Amino acid sequence: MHLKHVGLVWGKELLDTIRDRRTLIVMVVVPLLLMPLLVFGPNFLRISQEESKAKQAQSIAIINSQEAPKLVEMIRSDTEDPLRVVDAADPQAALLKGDIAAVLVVPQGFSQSVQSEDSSQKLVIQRDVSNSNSTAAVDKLEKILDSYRRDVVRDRLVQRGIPAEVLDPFSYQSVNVAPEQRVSGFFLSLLLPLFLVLYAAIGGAQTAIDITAGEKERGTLESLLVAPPSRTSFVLGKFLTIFTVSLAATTLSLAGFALSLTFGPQLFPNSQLFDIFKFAIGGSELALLFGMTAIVSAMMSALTFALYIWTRNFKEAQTYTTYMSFLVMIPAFAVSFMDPPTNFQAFLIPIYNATAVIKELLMGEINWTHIAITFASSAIYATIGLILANRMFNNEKVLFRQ
Amino acid sequence: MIQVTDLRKEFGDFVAVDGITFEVKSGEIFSLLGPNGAGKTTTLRMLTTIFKPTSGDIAMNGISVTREPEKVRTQLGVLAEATGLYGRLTVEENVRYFARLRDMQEDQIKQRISEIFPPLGIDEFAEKRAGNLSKGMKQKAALAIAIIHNPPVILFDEPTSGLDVMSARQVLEFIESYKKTDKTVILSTHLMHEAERLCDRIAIINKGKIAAIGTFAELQKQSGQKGLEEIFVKLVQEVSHAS
Repeated sequence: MHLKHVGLVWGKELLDTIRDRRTLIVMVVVPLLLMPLLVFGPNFLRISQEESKAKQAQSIAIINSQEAPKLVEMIRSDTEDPLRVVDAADPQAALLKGDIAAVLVVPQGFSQSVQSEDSSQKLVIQRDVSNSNSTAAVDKLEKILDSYRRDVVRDRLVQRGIPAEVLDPFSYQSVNVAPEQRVSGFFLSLLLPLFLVLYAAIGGAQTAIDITAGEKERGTLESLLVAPPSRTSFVLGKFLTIFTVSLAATTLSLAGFALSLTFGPQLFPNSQLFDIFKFAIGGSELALLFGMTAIVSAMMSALTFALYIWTRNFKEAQTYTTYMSFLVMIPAFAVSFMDPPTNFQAFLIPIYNATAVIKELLMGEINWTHIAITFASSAIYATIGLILANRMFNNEKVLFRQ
Repeated sequence: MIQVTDLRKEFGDFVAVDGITFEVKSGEIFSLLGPNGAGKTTTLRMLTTIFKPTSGDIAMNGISVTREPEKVRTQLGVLAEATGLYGRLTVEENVRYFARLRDMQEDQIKQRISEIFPPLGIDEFAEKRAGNLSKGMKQKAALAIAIIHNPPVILFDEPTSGLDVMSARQVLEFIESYKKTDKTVILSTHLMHEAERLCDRIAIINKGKIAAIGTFAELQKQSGQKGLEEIFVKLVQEVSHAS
C-alpha cells in the first residue's frame, strides 16, 4: 500500500462527490438550512401561534348577559386577556361553525344568587376542543372568572370586616440557580445529540453507496481492479472520502444549529424560544463534542463502507440505508429522552455511547472515563469495519456477487 | 508473452473454465472466440487478476498472476465490455487518474495523451464529462485509458459491443495497428468477422473448454470448412457431442 495511491483515490473521489448535485445537497444544503428549520420550525410556529392567540381577541357569545353585568364588564374591559363579546342568534351553531370561539351561559338570577351567597348556580362554558382558537378563548375566560371569583370573595370579607389579605397568607417565587449553559444545554441535549449522531452516521451514506455499489453498477470497479495499486490503497482512499463527507455534513449541521441560535434572537426578537435555546457551550466542550462526532463518523464510514461494498447495486444499498438509519436512531433516541447512563458498560454500546457523551458535554459535564471508553470502543469498531471492508474488497465473490 | 496452463475456475458447482491451456506470443493478436457464456470473460478476468483461478496458473512475461497479481497489473492494459469511465469526470481527468494510479509522471502523461488522443479523435471531446458522451466516444476514451501506459499486454473484451459502424471500424483499425508491434494482444469476441480480420490465431472456446486452437488456415483444415462461422459451428458441435 502506498500513501500516494491512497491520496490519489481520495482526491479523485472527493472531486467526483462535489460534482454530484444530489450528494452536495445532502452534504451542504440539508444540514446547513434544513436542520435548523426542522428543529426550530415546529417549535417556532407553535410558540408564535400561541403568542398571537394570546394577543388576538377571540369572539365569544354570552347567553343571559344581563344576569351578570359586572362579569360581562370585566370580560369587555380586560386588555391582558382580550375577548370580544358578540351577539349570535344561534350561539352553539356559531361555535361549531367556528364563527365564535366559546359560549358563556349565565343562569337566570345569577347576580342575585351571588349577592345572596347562594353558590348553587353554575356558569357553563361551551367550547369546541378541536379548535385551538376555542381553547385560547376558554383559557382567557377561566382566568377572568377566577379573577371575578376573587373579587366577590374579597367584597364579602370586607363586608364582614375581615382584611382581604387573609386570602394571601404567604407568597412564593421559584428561582433558577442552574447556570445558563446547563439550562440551554438541557434543552439542546433533547435534540442536538440525536441529530449530530444521525448525521455522523448517515451523512456519508450517499457517497458511500456511490463509490461502492454505484461503482459496481456502472462497471467502473472493474477498471479500478485492473490498476496496479493494492486493494488496500483503494479501500483507504474510499474510506477517507466517506469519512470526509460525513464529517463535513456533521460539522455543517452543527454550524447550522449554532448560527440559527446565534442569529435567531436578532431575526425574531419577540420570540421566547431563544430564551431557552442558546448555543452556550464552552470551548473545550465544543472541541470534545467535535471529537465525538468525528469518531462516530469514522466508525460509521468504515462499517457502511463494508456493508455497501457487499451490496449488489444502488437500490439494494439504499434499502440497507433505511434499515441502518433505524438501527442508529434507536440508541440515539433512547439517550436523548432518558437521563445519561452511569455504568461504564453502557459506554461500550456504539452510537448510544457517543450520544450520551454529547449530551453530557452539552450539559457542561466532562467525564473523561466516559469519553475515553467511547472513543476507544468506537475506534475499535471503526478498525473492525475497515478490516471487514478490506476483506470484502479482496473477495471476488463479494465484488461480483450476483 | 502469455502462458496459460491448465486454467480452471469454479463458482460453487458451476465450472466456468475447465482446464484450458494456451500460449500467446509477443507481437501476436490472439482471439478467444466463443458464444455468450462460453467462459471468455471469466478467462479474461483471471488474466486481469480480478478472479483467482481455482487451479492452474497464468504467466505474463514470466510473472505469475496467482503469486504476483499487482506486478502483473503493471504489464496490462484492459478494455472491458463496460467502458468503466467516471461520468462526472472529463475524459482527460479519467485518463490522467488511471495514468497516475500507474505511477506515470506528469510529463509522461502529457506526452502519451498527445500521441493517443489525435488518432482516436479524442481531442474534440477530451474536456467533456464522460457521462455526457455517446457510446462510441466512451469506448475511445476507455481505449485511451487501456493504453495510456503503453502496456506490453493488451486485453480487449468485446471491444465493439454496442458501437455504431463508424466507431466499431475505428476501434478495429486501432487494434489492427498492433499487428506491426511487439505487443501481446488478446481479443475476446463472439463476432466471427472481427476474429477473422484481426487475429493471428484463434481459440474457439465453448462451455469452458477450448474446442480448437490455431491459425485460420489450421482451423479450416481441422474442420474441413471454409468460413469461420461454419468452422465455429462444426467445432463447437463436435465438442458438445463429445461431452
